[in-house]
Amino acid sequence: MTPETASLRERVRAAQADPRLIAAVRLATWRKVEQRAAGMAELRNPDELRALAAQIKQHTLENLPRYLGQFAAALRARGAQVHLAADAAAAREIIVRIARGCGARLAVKSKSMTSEEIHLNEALAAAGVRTVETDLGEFIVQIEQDRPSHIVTPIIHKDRRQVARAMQRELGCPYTEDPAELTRLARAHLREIFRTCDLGISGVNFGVAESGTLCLCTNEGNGRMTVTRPRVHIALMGIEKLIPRRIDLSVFLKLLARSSTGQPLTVYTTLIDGPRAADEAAGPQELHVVLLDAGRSALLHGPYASVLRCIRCGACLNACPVYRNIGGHAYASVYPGPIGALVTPLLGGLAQHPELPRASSLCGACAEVCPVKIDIPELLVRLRRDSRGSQSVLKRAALRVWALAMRHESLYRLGQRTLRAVLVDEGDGWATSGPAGAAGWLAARDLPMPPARSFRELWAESLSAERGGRT
Amino acid sequence: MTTGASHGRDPSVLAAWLADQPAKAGKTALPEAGVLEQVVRQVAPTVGLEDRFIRAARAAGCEVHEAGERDWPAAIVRIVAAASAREVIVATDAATALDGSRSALLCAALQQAGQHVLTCLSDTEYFAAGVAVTGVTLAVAETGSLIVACSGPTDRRSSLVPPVHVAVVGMWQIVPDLCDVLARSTPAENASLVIITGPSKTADIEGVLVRGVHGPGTVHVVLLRR
Repeated sequence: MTPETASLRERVRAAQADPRLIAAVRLATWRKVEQRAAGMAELRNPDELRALAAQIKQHTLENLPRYLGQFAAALRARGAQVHLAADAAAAREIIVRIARGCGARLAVKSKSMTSEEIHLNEALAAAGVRTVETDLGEFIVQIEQDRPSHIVTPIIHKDRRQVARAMQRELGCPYTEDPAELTRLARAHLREIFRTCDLGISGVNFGVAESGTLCLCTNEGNGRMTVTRPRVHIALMGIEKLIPRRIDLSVFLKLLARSSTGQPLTVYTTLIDGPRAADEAAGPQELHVVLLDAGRSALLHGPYASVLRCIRCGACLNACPVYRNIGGHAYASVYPGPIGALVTPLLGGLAQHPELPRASSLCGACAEVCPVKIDIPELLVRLRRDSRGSQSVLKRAALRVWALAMRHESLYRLGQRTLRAVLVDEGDGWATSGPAGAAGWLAARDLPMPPARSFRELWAESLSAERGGRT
Repeated sequence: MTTGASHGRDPSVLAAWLADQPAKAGKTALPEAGVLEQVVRQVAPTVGLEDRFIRAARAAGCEVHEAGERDWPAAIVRIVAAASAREVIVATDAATALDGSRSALLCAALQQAGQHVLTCLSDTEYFAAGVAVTGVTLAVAETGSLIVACSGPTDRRSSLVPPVHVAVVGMWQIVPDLCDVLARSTPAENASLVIITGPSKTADIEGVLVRGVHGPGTVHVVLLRR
């Protein structure tokens, strides 16, 4: 676990010092990139679908209060209870209050990044509610007191040996490294918990405004168990997860799993319309939907509104060369990767996370795969402009000097000659140090040593030689 | 269905929040439903949907068996025997292909083969059963998915808890595309609807695919010819 107080650079160094971690992340992300490509190629018109998805989300965000009002009314008409949480603290308070109110002792959770964002588990534990993560990856994260490193596959940074040790320690079972056997052991353990739990907490992938439908996309079945077994179900939903109509779901369902893992659909797509029906013997008797704002509404009418289109598919993480080489923990945020570099400062404050927008080479791979066409590189550049105040004085001065030199030819020529004089290599032709902090800057960049004669000088010489030859 | 005195506060918290939001006109239009469907549709209504469904269901990890009205109960008896299951749940639902008369035929065949059909369905039975046989509301050719609308007759647990799920699907129940499912079900008639695409799985540990996590690890589709 990397400490939150370490700088991005320190966290990146720590990650890079673990070759096993980087190898695991690289392998997993490349596999996902191939799977996504194969999955999207099965669609006859993937780019049209992405444009449609972007348009629907953008329209919804532009009219969000109207749709939220419609959503809440539809939910209440179906017998669900709706709560609005202005921020994380309010969300924790509402959920703890509901848990206390129904006397819950054992809560099960299906994977919800929003619940990690608000630090829900600690609040529930403090209120005396034992909370068990039931997604396999999140379960391992929980028993290891670790943090997820990817928004779809939480333990991409762990190998089977680490999982085996964790399971043996926690469940007292015989040591095994076989993933199938480990999964069976987790299944047996969690099945007992599903039998006796009294509260289920889930996220929501899509909320449908017209009908008050909650849509959950899962693969393991723990999500279905979570929303079926307990007497009370709490669904925590960021306000941006809304879409207008049930027919709009078809666009997003066709894009979500393909972007994430290449599957046509996740194994289970559950549509929930209220608590259990009168003739049902299973299903929750109480359904609570907690709508979370926590900084989202502040973005709605500004230049960053498009980040709220995100459907949490993880495709940008898998495509990103930076993420692939540093892993999720280096971002020190619930949301890592390209989208995380945007939403973490936008929701949590730029002053608290000034470095994240710079954790990118702006290659644009993320924008190419985003199913809702968020122009991540453009927004990262904008955020960098907005965070200029946090740059070091030295860097700002250096950039001003550079800008000046680029505008004045004589200064540019002087700069060329100076560079030759002050850059130092180790005999291999690549600059490793120079004046005033250049060594730090050069450590992450491949800059060839300037040649003995610049192209401008060679050009001037050969031209004059030609002229001399002709006259 | 209130949980506490403070609950009464909540509707007005939302109302106040909504009133606080700036009223700005959006400039991005919502695509009209007909236009949307044309773009989204991947599979048109055409012949050969059954073959498309079978291929997609197998690609999703289901085992698909085609059968006629005479031999489908025997097919299920074989599946149950192969799963070494002793206790079987049969979910009778007139809204599916597994209606009262087919269900009676199936229960008779299972009992004759020495398999025990569970009738008094408490929670214990759902966790004890090795196989559950259910009908479906629809099947989707595009993705090989089964649509299970949960209700009194089709309990939410039947396609979730037992480790083997057998779905009896009539060929006439196959629709071409996912948008056909979503266009049909408004407003919602059931409190819960599940789109099932294959057996439960995870690849959380080193990306190794493992089937049968919490939902059924094996899904059999018995496809009935009319």
